[in-house]
Amino acid sequence: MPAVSFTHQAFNEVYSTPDQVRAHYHVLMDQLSRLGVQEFERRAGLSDLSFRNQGITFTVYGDAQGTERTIPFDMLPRIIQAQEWQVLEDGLKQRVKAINLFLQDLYGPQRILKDRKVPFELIHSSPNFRREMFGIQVPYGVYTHVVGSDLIRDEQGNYRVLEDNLRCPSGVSYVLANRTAMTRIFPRLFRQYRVRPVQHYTTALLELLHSLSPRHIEEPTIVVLTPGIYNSAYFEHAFLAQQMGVELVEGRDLLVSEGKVYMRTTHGRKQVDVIYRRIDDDFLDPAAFKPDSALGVPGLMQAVRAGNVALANAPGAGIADDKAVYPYVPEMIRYYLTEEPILDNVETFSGAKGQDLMYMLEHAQQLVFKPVGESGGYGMLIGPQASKQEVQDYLLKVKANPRNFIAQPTISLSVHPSYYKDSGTFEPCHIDLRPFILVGQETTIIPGGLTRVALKRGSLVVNSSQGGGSKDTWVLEDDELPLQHTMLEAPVAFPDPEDHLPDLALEAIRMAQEAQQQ
Amino acid sequence: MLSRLAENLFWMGRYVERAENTARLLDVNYHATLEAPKWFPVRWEPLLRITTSQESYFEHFPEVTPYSVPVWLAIHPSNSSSIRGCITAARENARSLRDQLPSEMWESINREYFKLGFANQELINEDGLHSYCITAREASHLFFGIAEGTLPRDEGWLYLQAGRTLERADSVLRMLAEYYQDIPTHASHQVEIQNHHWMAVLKSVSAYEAYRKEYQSRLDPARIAAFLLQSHTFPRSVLHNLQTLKHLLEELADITQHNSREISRKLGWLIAQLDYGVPMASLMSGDTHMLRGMADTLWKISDDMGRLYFLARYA
Repeated sequence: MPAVSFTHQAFNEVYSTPDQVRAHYHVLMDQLSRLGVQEFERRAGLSDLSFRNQGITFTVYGDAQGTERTIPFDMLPRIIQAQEWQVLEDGLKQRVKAINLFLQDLYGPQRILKDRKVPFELIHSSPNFRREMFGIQVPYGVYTHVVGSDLIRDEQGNYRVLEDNLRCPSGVSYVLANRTAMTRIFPRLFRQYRVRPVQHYTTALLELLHSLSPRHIEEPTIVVLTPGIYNSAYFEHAFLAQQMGVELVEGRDLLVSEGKVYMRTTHGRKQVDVIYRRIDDDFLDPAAFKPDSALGVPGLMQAVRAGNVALANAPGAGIADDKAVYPYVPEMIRYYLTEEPILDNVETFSGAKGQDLMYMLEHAQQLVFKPVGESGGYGMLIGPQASKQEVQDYLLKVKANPRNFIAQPTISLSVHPSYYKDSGTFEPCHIDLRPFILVGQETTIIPGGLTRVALKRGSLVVNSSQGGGSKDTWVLEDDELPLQHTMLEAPVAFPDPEDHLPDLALEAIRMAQEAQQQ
Repeated sequence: MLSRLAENLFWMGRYVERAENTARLLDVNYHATLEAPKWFPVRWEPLLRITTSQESYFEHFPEVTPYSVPVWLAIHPSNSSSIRGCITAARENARSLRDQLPSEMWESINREYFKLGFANQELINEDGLHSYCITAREASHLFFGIAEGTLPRDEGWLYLQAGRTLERADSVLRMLAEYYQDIPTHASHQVEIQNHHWMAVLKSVSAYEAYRKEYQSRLDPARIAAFLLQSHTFPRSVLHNLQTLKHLLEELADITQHNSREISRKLGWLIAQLDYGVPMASLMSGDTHMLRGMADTLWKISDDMGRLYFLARYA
C-alpha cells in the first residue's frame, strides 16, 4: 500500500485524523493496501493505455505541443454516502428550479428586476443577456436543460456551490468513462460497495431532448451540434452523439430555409427538430450574434423564434451563470420558491457594488479574483499565492472595469488522497465535484458527477486545462457499511495446469520459458 | 447520411489504403537497394513520380538520395501523402466520424497513429524503416479487417470501400505506367537485372507469390502487366478493383436515388478497355499513354463522386 500523507489545512475526505480512516472508506483503503504498490501501478498503467487508445482526450488551447491529452485519471475513487448525497440532490434541484424561473422571468415580465431584488443595470450590462430571446416561449419554461454546477467542501466539510454552468457544461463523458475504467480495474470493490449506477445518463439525456421536439412525431430528428474536432471537448460531443445514436453535426452540415432547420445528407435535406448545441451563444448564428463566426448556422435564431426547432440549452441561459449574477442565486430561491437555500454559495464580492469593490481592493492579497466572463480557470488571481507586483498589476485591470470582476475568500477545498507515481505515495489533493443535472418536465441528476482533482502539487485549480485530473465518484446505495470480506474473496482451488496438459504442450511451454530466459 | 461524413469515409478509405501502398513500395525498394549487386541501378525517382510528389520533394531536397526519399515518403512533415501524413489524415477523418464508426475501428486507427504519427529521422538512422513500413501495412489490414467485421453494410460501408478500391486501382495503374515507361535493357547482366526489377515490381503490389502460382515460368514483363491489370482473381489487380468499384457505385446510386450514369459510363469504359483492349505490344515498347489516361479517368470519377454525393448538398 502506498503511504498516505495528511494535511490539516483542509477537510480531508478520507481521514478524520492522520491515522483514522473514515468508516465508509475502510474497505477501500484496506483492499488497496493488499494490492501493493507494484500491482497498483500495473493497474494504473493499464488504465492509462486504455484511455489513450480510446482517444478519451481533451485539447489544450495554445499549448506549444498543440495536442490532445488524456485527462489524468486518479484511481482512488471518491465515496459519497447516501444521506449526504440526498442533501446535495435536493439542494441542486432547488437551485436549478429557481434559476429556470429566473430566466423565464428575465426574458418575460422581469418581475425580479422591478421588485429590485436584482439590479436592472447588472442584467442589461451583461453580454450574456440575449435580447433576441425576449418573449420566446421555450418548452416547459426551461432554458437550461443540462446543468453542471461546481460544488466544493470548505474547511468544515460543508458543501457550497462555487458556480453554476448553464451553457455547455462539459465533463459528463469522463464520469462515464471513469466508471467504465474503474469497474474493469477493480471489479471486486464494486461487488463489496453498493455503488449507484451512472450509465443511464445518455438515455435520460436522449429522453429529455426528445421531449423538447416542437413537432410531435414518433421520431423527431435530434442532433448534437459541435464546433468540430479541434474543440477541447470534441471527444465528449462525439461520445454523447454516439451513445444516443443521434447525428453529430457541425454548423456547415445545417441550413435554415423558411424558418426550418435542415441537415445536408447524401439523400437530400432532412428536417432537424432538436439541437443539443455545444457551441456558445456567440457562435450559434452569425446572422443574430457574431457575424464573423463560421461555426454556426445562419438564420438559426429565426428558426428558434418561429418555434420550429428547440435548442438545448436555450440561448441566453448564460445570463444566470454570469459570475456577477451568481451572488444573487440564494435571493432567487427565496424570491421564486419562498424557501431557504439548501446549499450555500461561497461568499462573493462583486466589483459592480461600490462597497464590495472597496473591500476587494483593500484585501486583494487574501482573495481569489475571477473575471466574470471567463471559464476554465483562465484569468484568475489567487491572492495568497501571488506576488505584490502581480496583485498590483491585476488590480489595475479590476479598477479599469470593476463590473467584470468578482472576488471570493480563499477557501481551502477539501482534499482527497491521490496517487503520485514519482513519490510512490498517496498525497492529499484538492478536489471539487461537478454533478450533472438534466432539467425537462422532471429533473434528473445522476448520482455523483465528475470529481476533479488539482494534481499539480499545492494547486487549488482543478480545471483540466490547468493540469487537473479526475477520479470516479461513488454514491452509495445506502449507508450500511460494506462487508470487509466477502465470499468472493475466499481462495478458489485452482488446479496446477501442468497436471492436465499432454506432454507435447508441456514441452512447448518449457521451450518458451527457456527461450525467454536466454 | 451527412454529406460531410460520406466524404470523410471515402477519403479515410483512400488515405489508409495509400499509406499501405506507399509502405509496400518503399519497403520493397529500400530492401532492393540492400541486396542489389553494385552494377544494379536502384532508382528512387520513380517512387516520387508514382506518389506524384516529385515537385514538392524538390522544394525540400536538392537531389535524390537513398536517404532523403525514404524520409520524404515515410515521415516528412511537408509531405501530406507520406505514410505518416496519410495515417494522420485518416485518423483526423476518423475523429470526425467517431460517433459513426464502431469504436474498435476508431481505436485501431488511433492506436496506429500513436505508433506512426510521431516518428522522426532517427527512424532511418536506427534501421527502423522496415518495421515502420510493416506497421503501416498492418495498420491498414487491421483497420479494414475490423471494418469488414463490424461496420454495418450501409451507405457508410460503400463510401469507405469505394475510397479504398479506387485508391488501390489508381496506385497500381500509376506504378505500372512508371515502370513500363522505361523497361531496363542494360546489355550485360540483362537477365539478372530484369529479374531483380520485375520481382521488385511484383513485390511492390504483394503479387510475387500470386504471380508465381499463376505462371510457373520466368518473369515475363508482358505477363506481369497482364496479371496486374487484368487478373480476375488477384485482389490488387486493376480490373478486380474497378469491377468492385462499379458494384459499390451501383449500390450507392440505388440507395441515394442519384443519377450516376456519367460515372457508370466512365467506369464501364475503363473495364472494357482492360478486358479487351490493352495493347500489350506498345506497352512493352514503353508506350504508357493508355495507363496514364486510365489513371486520369479514375481521378475524374473521384471528382464526379464528390460532386454527386459530397458537394451537391442541396443548399
